[in-house]
Amino acid sequence: MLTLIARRFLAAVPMLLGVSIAAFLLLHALPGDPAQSILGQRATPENVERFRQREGLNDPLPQQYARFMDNALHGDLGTSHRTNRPVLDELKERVPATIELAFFATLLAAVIGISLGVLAAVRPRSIWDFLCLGFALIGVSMPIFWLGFLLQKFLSGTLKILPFGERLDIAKWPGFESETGFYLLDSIFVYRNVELTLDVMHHLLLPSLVLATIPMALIARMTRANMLEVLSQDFIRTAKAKGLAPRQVITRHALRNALIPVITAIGTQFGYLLGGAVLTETIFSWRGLGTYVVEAIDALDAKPLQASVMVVALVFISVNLLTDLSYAVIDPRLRHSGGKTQQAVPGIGWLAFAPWAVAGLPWLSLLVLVLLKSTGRIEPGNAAFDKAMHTTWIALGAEGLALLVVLAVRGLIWQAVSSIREMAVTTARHGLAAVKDLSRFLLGHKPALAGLALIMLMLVAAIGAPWIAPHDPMQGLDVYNHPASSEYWFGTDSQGRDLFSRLVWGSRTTLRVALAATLLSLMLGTIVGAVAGYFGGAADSFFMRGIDFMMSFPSFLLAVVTVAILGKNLDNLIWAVGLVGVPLFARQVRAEVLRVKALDYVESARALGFGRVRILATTVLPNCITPIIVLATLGMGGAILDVAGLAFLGLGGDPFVPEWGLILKHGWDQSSKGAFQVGVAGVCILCTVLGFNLFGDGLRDWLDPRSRRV
Amino acid sequence: MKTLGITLGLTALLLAVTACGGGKEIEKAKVEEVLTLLRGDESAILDPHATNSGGDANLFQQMYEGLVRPSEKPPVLWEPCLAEKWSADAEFKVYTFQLRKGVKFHDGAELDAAAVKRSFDRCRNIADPAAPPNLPYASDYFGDIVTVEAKDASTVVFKLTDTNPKFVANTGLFSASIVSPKALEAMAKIPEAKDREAWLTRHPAGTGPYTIADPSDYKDASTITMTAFEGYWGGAPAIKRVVFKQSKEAKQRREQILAGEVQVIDSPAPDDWAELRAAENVELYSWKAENLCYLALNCDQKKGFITANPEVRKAIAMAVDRDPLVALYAGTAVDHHVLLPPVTLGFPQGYMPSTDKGPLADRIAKAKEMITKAGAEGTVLRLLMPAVPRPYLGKPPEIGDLLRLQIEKIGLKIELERQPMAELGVSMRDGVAPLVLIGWMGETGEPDDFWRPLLSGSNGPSNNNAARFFNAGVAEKIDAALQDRDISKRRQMYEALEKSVHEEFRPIVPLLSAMQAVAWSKKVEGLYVDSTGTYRLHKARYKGN
Repeated sequence: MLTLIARRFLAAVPMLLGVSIAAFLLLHALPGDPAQSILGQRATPENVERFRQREGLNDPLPQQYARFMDNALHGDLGTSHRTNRPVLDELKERVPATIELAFFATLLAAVIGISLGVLAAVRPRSIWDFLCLGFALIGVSMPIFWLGFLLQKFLSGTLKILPFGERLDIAKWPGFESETGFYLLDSIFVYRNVELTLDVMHHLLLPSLVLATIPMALIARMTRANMLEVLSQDFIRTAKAKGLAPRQVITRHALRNALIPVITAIGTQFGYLLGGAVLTETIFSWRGLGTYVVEAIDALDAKPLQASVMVVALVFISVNLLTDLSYAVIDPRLRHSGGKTQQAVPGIGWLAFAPWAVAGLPWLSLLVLVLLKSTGRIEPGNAAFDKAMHTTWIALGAEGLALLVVLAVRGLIWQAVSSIREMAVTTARHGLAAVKDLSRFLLGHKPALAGLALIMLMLVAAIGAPWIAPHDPMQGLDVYNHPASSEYWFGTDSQGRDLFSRLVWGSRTTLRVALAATLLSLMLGTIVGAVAGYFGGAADSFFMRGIDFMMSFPSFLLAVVTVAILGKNLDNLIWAVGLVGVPLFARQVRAEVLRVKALDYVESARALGFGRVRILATTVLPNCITPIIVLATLGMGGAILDVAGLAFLGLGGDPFVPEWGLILKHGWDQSSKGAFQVGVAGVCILCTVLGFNLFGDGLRDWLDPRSRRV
Repeated sequence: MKTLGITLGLTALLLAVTACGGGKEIEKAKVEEVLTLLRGDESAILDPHATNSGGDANLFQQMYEGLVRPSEKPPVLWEPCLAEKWSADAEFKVYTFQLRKGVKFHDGAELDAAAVKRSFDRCRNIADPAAPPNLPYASDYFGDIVTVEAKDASTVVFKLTDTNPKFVANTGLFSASIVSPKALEAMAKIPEAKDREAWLTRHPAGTGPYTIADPSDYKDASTITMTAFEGYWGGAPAIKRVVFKQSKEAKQRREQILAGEVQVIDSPAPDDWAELRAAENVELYSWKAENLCYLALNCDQKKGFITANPEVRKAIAMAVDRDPLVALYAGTAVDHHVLLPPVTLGFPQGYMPSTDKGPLADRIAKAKEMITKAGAEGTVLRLLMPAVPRPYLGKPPEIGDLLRLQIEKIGLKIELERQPMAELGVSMRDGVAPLVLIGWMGETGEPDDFWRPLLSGSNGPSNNNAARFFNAGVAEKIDAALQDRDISKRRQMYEALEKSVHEEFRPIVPLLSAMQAVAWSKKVEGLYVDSTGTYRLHKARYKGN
């Protein structure tokens, strides 16, 4: 166990180092002059120059990094130019607020999710089961800010039973001063005041409930699945045969075994909630870390942003570390292995990968340059950029030429062509057979069919937008806030634009952005996962440590910070959502490649003397493709929610582009007149995400023989 | 089930620990002693001399006072405040104020003539050791002060460079608030200008009915708690604490006052006025404010924007259709074509600039031709606007977007950009963009309050002059109109100024003048909005208390 703890702690060290470098570089990655980002736009040029000299911003980067770390380790995280307060003081208030909220959300999610999952599993095909599955599906498909709005309107506005937001009514408790930052702990242990404690809990309830929705759905679903599996096992039958009461069988035998992976999931979810709380905090004016980051981005306030990134990663890594350790405590196998994970097949090694890594450099350079260009970070006519682009193209050309020469010299051109043809034929044959089988399966799977119908509906709207939408979505019609009528089916908005047309065009924008983001994740994730999984060894370590590093940030928060670096723009959301989705695909692809490359037919291909790349491309990857498609389908739903969430936070740039998240946000800003707009935009998002999730689940069931039996 | 049981058990245990008592004392505020006010604005800097945000004025007026203050009800008249009486010489160049006795600052210092002199020295002199980095009102309102003399303990004499009949009104502005000399002395010792500017935010030192009693009561720009100043010369307020909270979205503010969670909200969305008026528990007070929302067109030749060309400016003015803009205000705004609001002296009744006359389609066609002729077709123009709503500009993105749609019809391209108010103030001062959507609120009822800061300045455009327009001839006429003591002549001079400036230069496109509103709970009485549109809380109390 001690070895395991030491191993995990040691593994966290390079991660923390990487996080500190990323946080440091963030200052230079933000748009504009770093000194101006620290001092704010109001600072005069003289002050900026003086500050640059004093803080050594003209020094070499390693020197600046050393100073940055020295200050950070001495508790000096700088001062916010927006609030003129030390960042450390602000974090002392903000971090506990988010942890408190995430903790209660996790608690709610665990208690309700596990209860619902157990009920559903114990009474399969009952109303409970139906409720559990329905809730699990809708829960993960719901735009959280929309749910927050609806619950706030109903529970706080109409019924007046819960407060609108904030952590405490400071007007009621003017002398309240938090000593720990955790209001609940303060109320219980410092003030020991029942009324105050109840007031704090009263304020916590609604935001926690909203934040808990997605993890609750996941936990309920996971508990149900695990319970069903455990309940069908022999030892449960034995327990029943012994005459144990059903309640004892469930609580003492089944639940205990089913909960092991659920507990790990709960830990992971807590980590994600720390970053995922941005939207909930915004809706409920919860002054936590999420709103702190958004406020810092709004004001391009560099120091709070740097510090927040470090703190979030630190907390996130710690939570994951604790989860790992707790899992080791629960699962003795892990404890005895000292934390070493078994690799299915020994890797081929770093040397085998090295030529490909060199060959990949120009491609990486091209990717970075395209990213810089497409996000508007490079002014037209920038000489350095043009030179870099020129060099990259020359390198790529040389690479292509070298490949042709090598192939020609070795007489392999015909072999390469046949490899490509073979890959296409294999994929087509495999794909065709799969489509036939899937069609047969789907005909008997009503939820997946419903999901497919929803997706098709949205796709038809997206493709046919120019013909379906009666009006231009960007052009004002000089009819403002017109109610729904035969001419304007959903009425017009405050800008005189036809709402129905905007929603129809919105399907195109939203699906385009989400699809592009998913494809980006898929493409990069597949390359990384395939290379890491197939070549193994150092290549695997290199890529997977990078992936682990990305996963040391909550994904939504990482997307928020990425947009801050790239600039607020709808197209930049593609990069933000796409890049943060890479780890998910990379890990899945790696796992699949590891599984497939150990199979006999791959060994046979190797024995026949096929090249490594040929085996990877023609034999391994086509056999991994189906689960990746399932993941991409489910990933589309997540991408739509992420894009809408980022747009809702005002990170989508122009607020009047027809995109569902932006349409919803515009309605949100319109007070009473925007309620209908908020409603229909929310329904569009919900239905589309639901469609992808239903269809994705169907695909997963199709792949899983056990589900087919059920 | 077990998990549920454990959780419930733990909760019960924690509540039991809590119920044992013995913790740190905390007092639950009596409902009748606390007022919670939701506002759209945030206040990052609470230094009355350092900001020009009308939203901040509502906070300053609770904590600071000037020599005079505006009347409770319109028209704007100036009443005694820290000065009990005043007089001016025959030429309106020397003003003498007699101070109220027995007035104390929040930090315990006594109000006397030396304190007034010290405060005025700071608010008009950027080189003062206690001065903040920015004094936005200094040149427009206090630039004509030659000397401030403390004649005796309670007599202050101001000598001006020239005749200024409206000087008394200038001493009632929030930017002329009297700050404790003790506080200024402490501030002078702070080396960094930025820290100096921030100091008053947590250590207010005025004479007003409320103060920030503990630095931690200023949580941040969005949550500020003020405590009643028991030593207030006008009598201690009945409401002992006022909590100012920011709630950016009007929808949230409406919901919360309707639910009874808060007692006062400012700037309710015009769409919500009818609902708030009809609500049983809410009082909505609205008034015709002395304000103007306009589009500033950068005239600075040095900046090189195409708006430096008067023909382009006129073409942009011709493209603007005010009807949809006004429609966004749900009947609470009127379209506007000139600088001065209708309630102000010198408003040119019946006059409309030629750019705004005629059918819209004809105007657009002509404007397109003018843009083509000026070679400006396809030019991309950056349009800056406030990130948060202003009293005259309830929905900045929506108004900005409508203007974009309208101006793009004549062949220009518009890029919208929202900026926080503090940043926008600097952008305006530096003239960094060709177009700025902004507004202005008059505080004195004086036409000079609009002309000088918005379309003039001393030897160059003033800080608030978003159009960066300065014409020596126009500036002379503005000075002359201020100094003339014949009211009918002044009216004529201002009317003539409107006609010449809009026909010849068109530096701004006035858009609309908006009504303003504040809503409060019917449980509260005594709260009022003064004649300049600032809410006053010192007489507020819960009914029956």
